[in-house]
Amino acid sequence: MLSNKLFYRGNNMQIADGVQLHFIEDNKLKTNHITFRFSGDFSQKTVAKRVLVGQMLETANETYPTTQAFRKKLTSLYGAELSTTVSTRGKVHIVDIDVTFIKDKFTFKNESLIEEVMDFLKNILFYPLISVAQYQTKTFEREQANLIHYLQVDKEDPFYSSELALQELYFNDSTLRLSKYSNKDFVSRETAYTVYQEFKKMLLEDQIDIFFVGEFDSYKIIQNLYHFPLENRKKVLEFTYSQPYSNVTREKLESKEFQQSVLQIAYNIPISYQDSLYFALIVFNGLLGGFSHSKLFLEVREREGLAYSISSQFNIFTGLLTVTTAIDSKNRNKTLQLINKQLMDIRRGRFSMEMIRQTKKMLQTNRVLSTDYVKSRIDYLYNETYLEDYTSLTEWLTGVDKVSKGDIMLVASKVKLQAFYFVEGDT
Amino acid sequence: MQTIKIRKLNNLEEEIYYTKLASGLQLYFIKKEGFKEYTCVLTSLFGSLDNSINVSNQIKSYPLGVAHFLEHKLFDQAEEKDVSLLFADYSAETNAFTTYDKTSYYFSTSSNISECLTLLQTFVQNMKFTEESLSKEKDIICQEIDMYQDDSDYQLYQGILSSLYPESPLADDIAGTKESVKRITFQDLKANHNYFYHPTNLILVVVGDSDIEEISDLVQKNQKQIPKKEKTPISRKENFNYLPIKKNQSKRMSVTLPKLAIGYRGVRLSEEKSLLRQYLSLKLFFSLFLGWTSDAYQKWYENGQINDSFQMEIEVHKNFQFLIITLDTIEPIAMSNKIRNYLLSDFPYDESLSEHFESLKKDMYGDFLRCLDSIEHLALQFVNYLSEKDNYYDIPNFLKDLTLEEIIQSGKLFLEGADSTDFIIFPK
Repeated sequence: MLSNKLFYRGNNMQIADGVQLHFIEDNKLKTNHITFRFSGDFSQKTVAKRVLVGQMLETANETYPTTQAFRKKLTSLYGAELSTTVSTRGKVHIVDIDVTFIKDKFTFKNESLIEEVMDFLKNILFYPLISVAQYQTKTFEREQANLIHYLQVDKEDPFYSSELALQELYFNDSTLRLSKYSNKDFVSRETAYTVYQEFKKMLLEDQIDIFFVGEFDSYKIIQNLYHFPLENRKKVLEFTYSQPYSNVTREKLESKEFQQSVLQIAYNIPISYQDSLYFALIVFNGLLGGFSHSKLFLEVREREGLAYSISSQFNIFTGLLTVTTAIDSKNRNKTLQLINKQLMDIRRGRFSMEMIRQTKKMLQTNRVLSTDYVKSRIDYLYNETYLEDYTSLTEWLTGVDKVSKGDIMLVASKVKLQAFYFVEGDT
Repeated sequence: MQTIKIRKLNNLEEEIYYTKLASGLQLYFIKKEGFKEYTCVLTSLFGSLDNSINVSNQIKSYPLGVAHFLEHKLFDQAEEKDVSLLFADYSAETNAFTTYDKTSYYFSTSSNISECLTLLQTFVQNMKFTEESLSKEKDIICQEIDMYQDDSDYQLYQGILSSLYPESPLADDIAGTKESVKRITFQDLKANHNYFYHPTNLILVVVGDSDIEEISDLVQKNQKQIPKKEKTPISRKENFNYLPIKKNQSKRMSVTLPKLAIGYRGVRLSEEKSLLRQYLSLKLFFSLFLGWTSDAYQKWYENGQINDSFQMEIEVHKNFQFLIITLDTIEPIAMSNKIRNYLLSDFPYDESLSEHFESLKKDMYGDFLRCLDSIEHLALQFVNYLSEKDNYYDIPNFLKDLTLEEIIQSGKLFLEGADSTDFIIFPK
């Protein structure tokens, strides 16, 4: 059989300590998908470096030294789509290389795209575009300038920039106050040397997960992966963060040259995914502002006509629930009051059983629908693998089903207003 | 009994069904085995450009934005619950959008497909809202128009379009202008609903893991239950006038880098030409010479003159075809000259071109296949590409068929006949 280093657990296999392979078989898709995932610390020191690594990974390497050569190769592989994505879970910073390419059976001449894509991935990871101990400076500096530009452009979006402003206001932890992409200043400080050194560190120390979704011959894949020099590592990851509620509500008002005004409200939620109230929190959020039948949408947008858009969302890994709405600046206080009233109404049980039923059904439908999407399936599998007591699909569906009206009211009483940010537009 | 046409694409493991029901409604069903999601799209062939029509030899003109206004208002069921809430009752999410030539209403769900499908037809085909509700809706639409004012990419795109097609319906937003929206009356909406929401002007697209017999029986039953309406014989005033293009317009907004748009207004296509074939030819042509694998793109990218914001958009419709190139660049005027001069060159044929071309075909084929993996995306793309002559699933055949000579000829012909101009947004 294969090397005794291999350790099977369901469809997961370990090829070295801290390096796991995951196979998700799927016959209905036309494409195969590979995600190569680095999980490391989300910290002020490394975040900009890691984002720049992501940028370099999708740009060029020694074999395909220009963006043109790099992209031409992907084009010839039936337009294999390769990109890097950055995300966070609590204090974990994740850099993904995602590749989607058509299944071999759909190629014109029965070509073996899987092998070619694996080769391409190997080139990206182990033959970077370097001179001595740093990235080739010309390419690096251009990509650094591009990244700085993208970060600036993002700030022109009133929703995104106000979301960041709220985050900065809300979190005590200096890292969580940052965007997952860091910021312009942090990125400018890095060099071709510091970023390349960080990449080497990621390859040696990050937890690595490789996901294969579609139709793969796992034996062949493992054979192929033996050519990937990935050593044993032991990475401890902090997936959850929580901060205590403070009695002082933080507020910040600004004006900017936006056509519209945006109000962002942060609530502290002292509930984790392991908490018995976790499912009630999910239903609560759905009831408050997750859908078009939710209270915020119905009362603030439909009945009062105060907002063009309004919604609520929460991050279970940081304990932050936010309400986002675009309004006319003269309606700020009225909107704020009305939003708080919705929360109060839920605390007092002023919502029908019919609304609960509908919200649960909607949540369950969406959860089922998400299984059609490759990246969602990867994320569920990742959570199930690394988070203790993380629920499976069936447990999740029954968990939501069992939530009572009392549970939802209890959640509402624990949700506390902590901060709000308002950016006034110039009309 | 209606006949059902089946098209099996064995090599792609796809099945598409088509039938025309007694009411005149056309039904497409795309079977997607193993998927949990269903998406159903009901489309009226009524878009933002259809604001001048011929009704019994009389030309009637309506304010800009009627199609979009109607799209908003049909969700309003007067005394009853809003339509999106009714869909939410069935745990389905619903949405709608208006384009130049179509208005589409759709839902996605994993359960209650028949209830949702019935609801979709009922609410689109029956107009229930009251005259009193219009003024509130006008406010909402004006807010929506305002929202676009902040979006510099949108301003750039709309700016170049209004330079290319001055005083035409393309010059303004699909939603119309604040002024035109305020002029829309209840009668306007009612008349247009009568003209354009007759079943003979509607197309239903169903995508998901279901069965054609079931779907067509259900839709047939639904159609019988919807009150029959007289069909008003109308014809569209097909052509808006092409006025001379506006040169070198610009505006200031708070952006970090200047934004440049270069537009090419092609000549109107002849009737018999397939729109999809023309679209694919132009797309291949411009990818070959200006796309991110082209030498020109590479040179500018390496020099830092362009970045990933560089995009090309090609639209090919019955009455118009255009190419719009947009980019963020530190030197917009110089880049505009550079790109436009480059497009004047004669694109000589050389050996490596042929290999690059074959690669780009594979790339577009891969793109097509990827889309088949997302139910909602597929449903919307199918509607987007649907025309009298061809549909989305014709793409692989066209790709197989197109030669380098043909696409170069199409590209050159397009550029030779086109008028071009630019539009720049400078930082404040």
